[in-house]
Amino acid sequence: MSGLFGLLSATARALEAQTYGLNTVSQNVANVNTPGYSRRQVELAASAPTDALSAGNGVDVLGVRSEHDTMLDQRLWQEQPLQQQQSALANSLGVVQVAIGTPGTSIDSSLQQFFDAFSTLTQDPVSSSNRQQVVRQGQALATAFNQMADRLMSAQQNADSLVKTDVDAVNALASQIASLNDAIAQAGGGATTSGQALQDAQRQLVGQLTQLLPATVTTRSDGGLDLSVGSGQVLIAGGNAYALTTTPQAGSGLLAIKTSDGTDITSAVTSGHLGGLLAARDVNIPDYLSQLDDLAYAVVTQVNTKHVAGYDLNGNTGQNFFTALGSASGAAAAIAVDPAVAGDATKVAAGTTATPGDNETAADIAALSTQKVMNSGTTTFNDAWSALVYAVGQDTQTAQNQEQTHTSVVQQIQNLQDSISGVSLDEEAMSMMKFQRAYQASAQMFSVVNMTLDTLLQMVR
Amino acid sequence: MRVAFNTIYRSTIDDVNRAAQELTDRQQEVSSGLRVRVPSDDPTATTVAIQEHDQLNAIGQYSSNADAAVARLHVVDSVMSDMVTQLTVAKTAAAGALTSTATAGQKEGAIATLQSVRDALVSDLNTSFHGSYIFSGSKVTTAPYTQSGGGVVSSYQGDTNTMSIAIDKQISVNSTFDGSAIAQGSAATDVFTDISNLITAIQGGNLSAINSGIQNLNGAFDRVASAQTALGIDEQTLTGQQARLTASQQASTTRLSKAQDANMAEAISGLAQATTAQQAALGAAATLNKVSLFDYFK
Repeated sequence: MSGLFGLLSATARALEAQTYGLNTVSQNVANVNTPGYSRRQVELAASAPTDALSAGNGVDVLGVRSEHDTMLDQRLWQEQPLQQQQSALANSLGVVQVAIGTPGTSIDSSLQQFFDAFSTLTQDPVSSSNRQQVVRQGQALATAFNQMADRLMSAQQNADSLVKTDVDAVNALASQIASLNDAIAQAGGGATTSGQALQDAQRQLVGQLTQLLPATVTTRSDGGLDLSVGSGQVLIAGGNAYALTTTPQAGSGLLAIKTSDGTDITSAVTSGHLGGLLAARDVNIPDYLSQLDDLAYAVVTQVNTKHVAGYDLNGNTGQNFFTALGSASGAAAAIAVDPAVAGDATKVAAGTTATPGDNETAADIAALSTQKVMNSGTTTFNDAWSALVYAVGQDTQTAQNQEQTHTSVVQQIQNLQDSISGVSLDEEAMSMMKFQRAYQASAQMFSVVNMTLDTLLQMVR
Repeated sequence: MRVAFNTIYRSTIDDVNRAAQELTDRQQEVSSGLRVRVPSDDPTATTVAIQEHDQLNAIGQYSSNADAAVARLHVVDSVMSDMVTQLTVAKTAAAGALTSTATAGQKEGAIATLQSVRDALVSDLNTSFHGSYIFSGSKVTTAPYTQSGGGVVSSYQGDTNTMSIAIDKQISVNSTFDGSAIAQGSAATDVFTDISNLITAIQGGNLSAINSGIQNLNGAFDRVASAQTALGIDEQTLTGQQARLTASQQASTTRLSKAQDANMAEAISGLAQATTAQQAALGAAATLNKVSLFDYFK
């Protein structure tokens, strides 16, 4: 009788085991669309026999296993920052290249019209309308430079504000990840189903954080994750998150990123969304601004050199056309027609002598448009603008191409992750059928054992 | 390898998005007619486009200068033609007085003609274009010659600096002229003094002086003719340059179009292909959703 009762017990455990299986299938199907969810597998093992003549003692449920590959997690956390860096860079530079304008409509057009005005002035140097046109085109050119500089600086400021947004997001994620470290430790780590669920959520948050800021992720003994950034500065250690701060740098006012111990990690952040923003803010856009400033400064100095030696309609000399600039730094934002000339077109110098019809200074200034007066006499103004536009276009195209390349790699890693952790509905359907049939068989077995017991009891009445 | 639910949908979404992006790009290319809309589309072609725009602008400005020069030189040509006519009339009148039998009336007629020619020549050399004197060198606001009430003409009031206008990078044409080179040149006296002296000679019946005066008028005639010949060369240069600028403009426009414009046949074909590809991607996405093992459970 004890054998039959043992059989009942074993059958009951079998029913329970298949129920666990069905529960696991149900959990997997319910979470098929849950981001970061790792499919669960119930672990069953045959229960050992208690005597030499027993085939066994049924089935034991050892637990529920979460299927995921830690190596793939690490690989993804290394590749996603590269993708996000190029994405952020491509987006920032995409704004810049729209600001640059199309050929024939931007600074190049303003330069052409300015020098054309001086060329037209040579036709009739005493013409009031020709002189007014020179002043107007000079002002238009200055305005074009001012506005272009403003757009580039706005793009830089926009990247800077996004740096603050990203750092805030990093801190928020770090805080959540640290809280989960405590929860995972209390839940018993990956050995328990509640711990596994917390680990899934934590890995998802770590993935979001590393997209923003590359980090070194280490697994704790209690199942949680610690993160460090830069050259080893701790971001998360156990239940503690050490928030990053942003402080304006002296001079530029642009934000520097510092760890909680005060270490400036700005230059160390070279990937992730933050890395892309910093590259745009600190490398690409300043380079474009510098080229623009060099061009503006060259225009001012070259034109002024000719103009100051020329004579205006009143027979006076020594007048700058543009307000003199001390250096190239900030030239594009500062360029302006000299107020004296702006207010009185007769002060435009057209001749190399004081005679009214002398047009040689105007001709010399007009000729500057085709002369190689920049970069030690190797490039024209238009060449310099062309080089700037090329740099913007090439940098943007490179970032877009790199983003696509890294996106492909990320997708491949995610596909590999899915092949291990992802839920296949067809597979779950098969598992459901498998556990369902097993449950039916165990239930039938239970009925048979029960009837056998009844038969036995009737025998002893 | 296991193919998970998310794998299928991620790759499907990626394919659909990629097809949609390609379709959008082809639509923009066809509707704008441009292959290069932003520098990153083709950085090299963008710089070529910038250079060609600059070239077209330069051609436009040189054309404008050439047109202005043509208009100005036409005026100069007319002036010189008139001066030739006036000097011919003067020589004829003087020749008529070069005889000991000239009557007082004939002498008075010749003198009146010479006075009229002198006034006409002053007017010719004082010609202005858009308010600036053409024959004053660089002193365009100063009349080359003035006349007193008695008809006496002043000395040359302009300077010898002639101005020019650029009609190409290394080509210029004169826009102002040295009036004294036409009126006097290397001669001892200018044409106005010559005419005044001729009038005095006719009044006095000085045949030798009349003859000398006629020789001086011949010298003035030669100077005007020479200037007109040089002007003709400038006008020919302008005509040739305008033709070259037109050809350069067409060539530059072609290069610009080649750099940035879309090949419409290819663009439309590409649009059709992209449309088909998008439809295929959407169809594949819809098909994937239809098959599941759960559908076969009864």
